[in-house]
Amino acid sequence: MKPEQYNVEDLFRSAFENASLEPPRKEDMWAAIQSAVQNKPAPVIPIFRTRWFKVSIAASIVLLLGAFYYFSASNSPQESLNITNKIADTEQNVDTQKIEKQSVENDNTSLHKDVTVSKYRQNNAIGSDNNTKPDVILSEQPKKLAVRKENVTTIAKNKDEAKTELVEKQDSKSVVAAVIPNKIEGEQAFAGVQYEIMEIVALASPEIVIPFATEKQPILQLVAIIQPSIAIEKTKTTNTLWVGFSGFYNSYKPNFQFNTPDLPSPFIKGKLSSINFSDSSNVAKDIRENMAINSSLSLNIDFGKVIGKYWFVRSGLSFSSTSYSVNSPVIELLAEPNPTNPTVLGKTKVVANTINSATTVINIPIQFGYQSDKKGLNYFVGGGLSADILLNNSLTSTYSPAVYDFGNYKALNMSIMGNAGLLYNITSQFSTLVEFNYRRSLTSVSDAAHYSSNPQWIGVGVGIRKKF
Amino acid sequence: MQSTNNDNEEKLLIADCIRNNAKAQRALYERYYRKMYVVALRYAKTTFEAEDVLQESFIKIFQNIKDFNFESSLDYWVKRIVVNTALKQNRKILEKMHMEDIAEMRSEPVEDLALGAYNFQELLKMIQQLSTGYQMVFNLYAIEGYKHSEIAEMLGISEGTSKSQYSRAKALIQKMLEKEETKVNVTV
Repeated sequence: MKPEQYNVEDLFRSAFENASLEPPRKEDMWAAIQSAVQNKPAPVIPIFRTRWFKVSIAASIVLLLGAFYYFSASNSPQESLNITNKIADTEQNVDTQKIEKQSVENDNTSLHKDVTVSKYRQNNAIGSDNNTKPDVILSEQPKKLAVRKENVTTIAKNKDEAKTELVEKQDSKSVVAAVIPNKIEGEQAFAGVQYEIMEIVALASPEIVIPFATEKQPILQLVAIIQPSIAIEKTKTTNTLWVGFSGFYNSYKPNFQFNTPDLPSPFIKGKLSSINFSDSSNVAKDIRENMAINSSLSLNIDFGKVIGKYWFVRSGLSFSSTSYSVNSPVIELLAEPNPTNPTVLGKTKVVANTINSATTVINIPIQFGYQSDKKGLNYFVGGGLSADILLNNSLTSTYSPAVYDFGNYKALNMSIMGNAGLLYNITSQFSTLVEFNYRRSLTSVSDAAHYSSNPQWIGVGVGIRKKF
Repeated sequence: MQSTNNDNEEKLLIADCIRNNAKAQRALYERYYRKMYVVALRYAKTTFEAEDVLQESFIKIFQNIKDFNFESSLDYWVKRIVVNTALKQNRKILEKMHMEDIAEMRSEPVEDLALGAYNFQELLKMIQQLSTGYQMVFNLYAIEGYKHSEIAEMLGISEGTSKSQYSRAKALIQKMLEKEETKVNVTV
């Protein structure tokens, strides 16, 4: 056979043009492919549309307000209170009730004064005439209560000497309950919280009169349930609550991981109306090699509470802004691929292009930590979790015909975080601080299937704290 | 008319695949797996490697078929995914090519040979005997028909490196072909 004249390219192209072979593991491969494809995760629903998200936001606000109130209440200057007040109600549908309380003995009558109760009376115009004649008269008709003799609490300085007897008269019934002395302290604290709540309500709406019947006030019932487990310090007032402001400079990294082939790039989507283009610009490769990350700044408002002498719990709000750009040229196809051999690209033109991404999030952290307790310079370390709520995410390209698909930035992400810093007490109330922190998203912030991104921030910041 | 019917069938097949219809996916698999297996073999050293590439490629095809925009043929799109998957599998080896000094390479001009007829399996063995770098560049240029500038971009190497790699690969292939020709002549 006389050999024909070929060049190598023609020889190989013609030989492989319609070449096909049966792979030995055809069915095994198909089973593996189906397993991978059919087990794809369910479509991601934007989390901000879910009921869970709305409930979480509402619960977070309630929790923050509740925590703030609790810490404020437990830190406000208080005199020792010995309130001997016991309210009993044996039937739900009672028209009227009268509770009389009597203090049998009290060594120091000069202390028969309750500032909180007095304020409450004053704001409600409930008669402030008879502090020395303590009795409490409750009516289920709140308006009537306002013009009747009001509640009076007997205050005794020394709880051990207090002997209290509670007599409740209710229509024809009378219930007599003797207060057990070792429960007096808990009741005092309960009454303290109760009066503070009433005071707040009274200041806000003087026309509202709150009956003292605990059983008819759900919030007071809740306080009554929780109260025995809460130790309230009444003898010492310290600055254990703080509010702070700080600014941070962050080193930010998006931390991309790719799951799909670089080409054809799944990052480019859509069909261009007038321009055909090749996705051979290889966006994934460009992200790895041609990404420029801009400076990231964040502003924090935080508040915290020292527990005991050294431990603290801390929360707040932080606004963070991050951005990066990717130099990713696009190749325009100026001619269709060769119809006889579609793997051969036609004439092409490279167009310069930069992809820009900008993201703003609000972080709500909850942290626990340890701090030293000295007069001047102190240190602190802590760690916790942060809920990162998306405010804005944009993705644009300088070559506008190319539309990129980086997936949807999730509305809510969770991050783990740690921090350490130095705190200098300028005065007893004001401090400055220098702080380092690290935060990393626990899951991918994008719902795209072809890549994941677990950003991290390493920040250094300065700020100021005001103690209360 | 026949072409239009085929186009419509293909569009329906793609639409069903986008809906994750297993039967449609199987039909697409049946349509391409033999040809694509050969493509994968060209970029692999063993049948195991080729099967891995083929399996991974079909997973990506089904997961990304929603992005197929009909601007090119489905054959072209599928083949590109197989090629890119194969390139990715060899990425670590290809990255070493970046370290090579282009200045040390020189293109050796090669002349066309008088060649007999070969079946593709004989040529496949020759391609698989090349080192991975040569194998990738030879496939992309000689068979896929990419330009050196495009290959450079795809592999993250310079155009000069692509040219010199191809030149060396081609020279090696020609030597193998000459050897085969000699065997044939001796036998005859």
